[in-house]
Amino acid sequence: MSEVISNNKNQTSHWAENFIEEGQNPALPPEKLAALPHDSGLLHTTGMAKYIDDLPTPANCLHGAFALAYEGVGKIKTIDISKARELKGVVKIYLASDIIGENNCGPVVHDDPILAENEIRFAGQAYAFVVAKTRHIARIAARLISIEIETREAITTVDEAMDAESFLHEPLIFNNGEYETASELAEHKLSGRMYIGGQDHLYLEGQVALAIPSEDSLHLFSSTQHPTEVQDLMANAMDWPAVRVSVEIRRMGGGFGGKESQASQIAVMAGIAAFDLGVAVKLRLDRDDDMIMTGKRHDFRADYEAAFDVNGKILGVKHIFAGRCGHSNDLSRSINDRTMFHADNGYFIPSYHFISHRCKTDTVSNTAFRGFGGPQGMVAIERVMDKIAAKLGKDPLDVRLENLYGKHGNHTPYGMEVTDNVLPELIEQIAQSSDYKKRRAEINAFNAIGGIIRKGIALTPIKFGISFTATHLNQAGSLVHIYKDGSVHLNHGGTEMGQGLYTKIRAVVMKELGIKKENIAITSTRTDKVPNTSPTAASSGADMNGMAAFEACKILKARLSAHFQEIFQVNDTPIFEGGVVKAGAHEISFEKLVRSAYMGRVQLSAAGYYATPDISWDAATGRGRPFYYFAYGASVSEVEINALTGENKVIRVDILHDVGNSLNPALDYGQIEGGFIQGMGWLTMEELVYSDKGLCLTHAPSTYKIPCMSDRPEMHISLFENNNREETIYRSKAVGEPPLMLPISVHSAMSHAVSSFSPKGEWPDLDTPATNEMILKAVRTEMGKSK
Amino acid sequence: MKTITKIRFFHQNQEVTIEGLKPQTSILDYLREHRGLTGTKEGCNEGDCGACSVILAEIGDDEQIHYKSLNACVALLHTLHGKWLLSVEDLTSKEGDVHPVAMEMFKTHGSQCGFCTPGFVMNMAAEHSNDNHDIDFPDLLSGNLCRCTGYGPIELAAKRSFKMDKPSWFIQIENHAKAWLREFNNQEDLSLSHEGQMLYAPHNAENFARFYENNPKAVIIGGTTDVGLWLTKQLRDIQTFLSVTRVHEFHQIEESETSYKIGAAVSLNRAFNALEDEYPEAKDWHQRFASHQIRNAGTLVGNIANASPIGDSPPLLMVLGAVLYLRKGEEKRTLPIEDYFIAYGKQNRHHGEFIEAVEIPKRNLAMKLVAHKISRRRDQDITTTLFAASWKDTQEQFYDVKIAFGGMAATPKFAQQIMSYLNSTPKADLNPLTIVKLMKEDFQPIDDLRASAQYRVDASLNLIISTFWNEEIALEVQRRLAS
Repeated sequence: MSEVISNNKNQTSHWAENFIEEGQNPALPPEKLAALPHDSGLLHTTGMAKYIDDLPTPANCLHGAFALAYEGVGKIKTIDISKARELKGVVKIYLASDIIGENNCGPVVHDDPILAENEIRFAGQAYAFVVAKTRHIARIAARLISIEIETREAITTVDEAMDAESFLHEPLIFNNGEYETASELAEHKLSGRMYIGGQDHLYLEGQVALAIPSEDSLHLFSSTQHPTEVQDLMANAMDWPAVRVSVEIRRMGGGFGGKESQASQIAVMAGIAAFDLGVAVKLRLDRDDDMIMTGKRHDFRADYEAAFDVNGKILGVKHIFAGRCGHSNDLSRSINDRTMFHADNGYFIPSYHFISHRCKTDTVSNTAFRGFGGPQGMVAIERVMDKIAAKLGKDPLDVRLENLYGKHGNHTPYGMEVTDNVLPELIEQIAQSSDYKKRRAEINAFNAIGGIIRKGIALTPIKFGISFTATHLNQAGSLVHIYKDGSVHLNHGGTEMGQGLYTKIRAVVMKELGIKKENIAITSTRTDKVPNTSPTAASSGADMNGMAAFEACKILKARLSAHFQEIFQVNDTPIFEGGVVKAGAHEISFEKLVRSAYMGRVQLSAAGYYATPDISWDAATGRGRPFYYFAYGASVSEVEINALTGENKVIRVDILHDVGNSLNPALDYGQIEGGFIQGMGWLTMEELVYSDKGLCLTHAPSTYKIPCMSDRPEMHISLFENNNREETIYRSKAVGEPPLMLPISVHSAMSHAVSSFSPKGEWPDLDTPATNEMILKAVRTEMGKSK
Repeated sequence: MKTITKIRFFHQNQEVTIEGLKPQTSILDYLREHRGLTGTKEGCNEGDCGACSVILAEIGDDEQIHYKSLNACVALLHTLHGKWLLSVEDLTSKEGDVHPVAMEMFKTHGSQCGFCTPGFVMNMAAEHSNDNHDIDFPDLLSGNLCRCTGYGPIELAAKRSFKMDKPSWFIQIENHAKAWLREFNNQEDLSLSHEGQMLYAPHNAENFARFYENNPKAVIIGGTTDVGLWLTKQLRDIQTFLSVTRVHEFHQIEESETSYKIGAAVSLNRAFNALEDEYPEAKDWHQRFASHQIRNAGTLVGNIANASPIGDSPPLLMVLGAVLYLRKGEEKRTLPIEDYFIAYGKQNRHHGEFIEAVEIPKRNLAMKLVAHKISRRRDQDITTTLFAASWKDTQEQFYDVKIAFGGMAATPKFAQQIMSYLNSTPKADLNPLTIVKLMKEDFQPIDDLRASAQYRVDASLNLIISTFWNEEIALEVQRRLAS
């Protein structure tokens, strides 16, 4: 074959080129403060950063492994541990009956057993736990355990669950009662169905915990995004008050939502054994076990109907979502809610009837993953936009512009007004800078010539709601100590998983106290320092913990200022900057002021607290203001497909993204590029395959393919100049999740390329992930249509 | 003949000895659990993510040190013998100076969670230390997965650091290592035994052949890029390993006027580099064959010997007319490579017999060649379908057509019916729709987790038709089949 889709080489587009000097220079001028490199960067690159598996273990530390039931679902008849027990080096084998307290690791509804009890609810579920002298022995012993079950037919897909009406709970419905009328009156209508695939987190560091017992308590090192939840579930499993458990995490090797609820089972199991045996127990899952027994992004079936006018203006949309939740609730209610909150994306939909079914299946319980259900809703509405455009023979961008919030209305289907919309301006900027119109015309001309290589281009926007929709989670705490010598100990409830949260929060303290980063020690997140924390999730880490640290600094500054006024006998409020505290002619170094304050018996420790204001959500009525604000962005992607093999490639990507007033542009660019590539993987190559019994077959990176370096396209990323209208920390915006949805343009562009084979210019029903196979199938479907 | 029972290698500026560990211990477990060096990470434990990348360095015939990155999770301890091991900790000097690749990774914001980072850094450091400046970084680094960054900052770090020199403190250690490596005696057999497990790594072919004839149940290993997974994933208990890695004859690439004969211990990368000038059409196939680290450790003969239906080398070698050299004790025979694959899990190989080398003919100038791999991800993925074809032709007729596929049957397999049709029919009479019919006779692939049988057939047909007709006709046939 002469034309093979090429490898992308010699990239020239690297945002990091603009942020290298900051990394070199530790003594930064104040205005450069914002672009400080990751606090652990040099520790990472030299191998010195310690993850949980790297910590020195106490003497006689034992190791655990789960036994998994691969054979299907059904009632447990017998479990035979005799062979495993005989293996030299095995210390103890735990079954569900050995758990003293509650056998549950479900975060909201207590419906998720740590070890299967009475029945196996999905193929791959853990039902026994071996503790042995080495990890190797534990793993061998786990496979010597056998289980017999009365297997029953498993419901494994959304289609099967919908047919069987197998649901976790009642559907959520947004319905203003006008869709049916709008649909009847509309000039144009369309409908369709789309399958949207799931995604494994593939954090490079798998699930791991180290449990250390003492006489009446447990200290858990857990690779978790939610230390407080691990604490609570551990206490429940022991029938203890929460105060007897402390949880600590310095850093995770990636989380992406996969360690929000999924870390608990691992940590709690290790804790149960450690306290029982009186020695430390480490539990680190093998990658295969990890991918088989922990939850993933929900896969969806999305049915849509749209009514629209000749300009492409939407009159009404009906969505019926069916999300595969798995065997238990986990976080599925909130995740599917968020799908509903994002089924409008950036578009005003005057008449709507959205229904969200939460399918209960006999498969692993799906969980949080960057975007938390939002991406699936956005993919569905973007498909509607593309379909409308194809039907009317318009550029999809024009249909998108026609329907953006602001033009015909600002009212969302959940009763919240959109007041901070920047999409019209943002889209105009990126359409210009990416030369979208011209390139689209060129691509259409290229495709019209024929040939096996076809190109596609698309511009898609995102609008992502920031806040936990479970309103009570929107609170955070911090703890700041100033020691006598002026060095500062910083702690807060957020966890570090690579996103640079600690670096951002430290910058807040640097700015508020006017001191250098070297004077601030960032310490492990611990439930015994800041209690009752929310998960580091919903992109809220910097927003909430940054504010909590700000509040603590405010308290400390007020006390130090009062002391300053006392020693200098002035009324002016001093400013803290460049290592000194000054007011008018009076100036003192931060260290000296601190020492003096100590001698003057001023309290030098403060706890900060923050609760996000002005938000509310009533799940019963489906109304409220669930989000404090929205983060916006848009991307333009260009792709190539090979019509004979389905092979495909993302060629060029332009991104304009709104992070408000950036807390740290280097970290924000990193989140944008990383989120984009992760989302691109979800939509293109990351395909999860399950057996008929519901067992995950793609349970290792050998068979589950995330993008690698050669998949990275040419990328042009810019930040949209904007300040958050809400009073967030320094008017910044959250950045963790939103970029994951930018690559919806990749999927639209793939569809555009495929559409060139459609005799009537129809838009293909390309599902996600758009693998080689899916693209070839879509090409053949379009080619097979008559003229 | 002297047999030694301890592993000796150079590490952290001194000689290190290992004894009393099970031979199947991986270099990764050794570093992390027995040496407390935790910078090297375990991400997948199967050689796919690259987080465990370390460097093994050795002296080449050119008296220079050659640095090779490999996946420590599937590399067994004996491969350290007589080598210099570097892990990420070796990229910081005693005084705290940081090697340019690690420093640039930091400065370009190349780490986020940091867990994959040591692996990237080590894979880069190997080529940096080889003073190799002409690098295709996406190819070099396709065996290192990062879930956070999107790779841009990492690529930038690589580009920047490769413009920088080796630090002087590193050169100093390099010189010590060179002296140690030069003095090391490679003329000994290595025999390791612990807890009922034995590993024998003889230094010559005669000892190897004799041992295998007497111990036909021994598991032959090279880079353990496949057998490693028997250990880490299947937790198999293997009694006896027999390693090709120290057999000096097996490291030879013998070039004659008509062929290259590639020994059993020649790594994939070395073999491919030798073939690249001969068959430039195979460059893409080479790049997409596993990852750089796997190609450094795995052997071409191993890829053939394990006879996987999705092995990437057999289809190409079949259409090139490769021949296997088999040996049992002193008995030797040759076999066309296609005759080696009998059925799934069954090969034309007697008890105690092994493949000593594969011979690949040099190019016949009239021959045309195509190799096209289809996989879910372009780089470092397992084959869905691998298509290879060679042929000659005149204006009127194709001849010497060979077409082989991987991933389409229980073994790598020729498209027999299609080949004979193309060989026997004048070009003017060839009908692409006949290929569609013959395809069904030649192949009945199965659905699996990589693709459906239908996709395999569709894509394979398109590849054949676009090769022997052209793309437009392939497209037209597809249109007809679709409607």
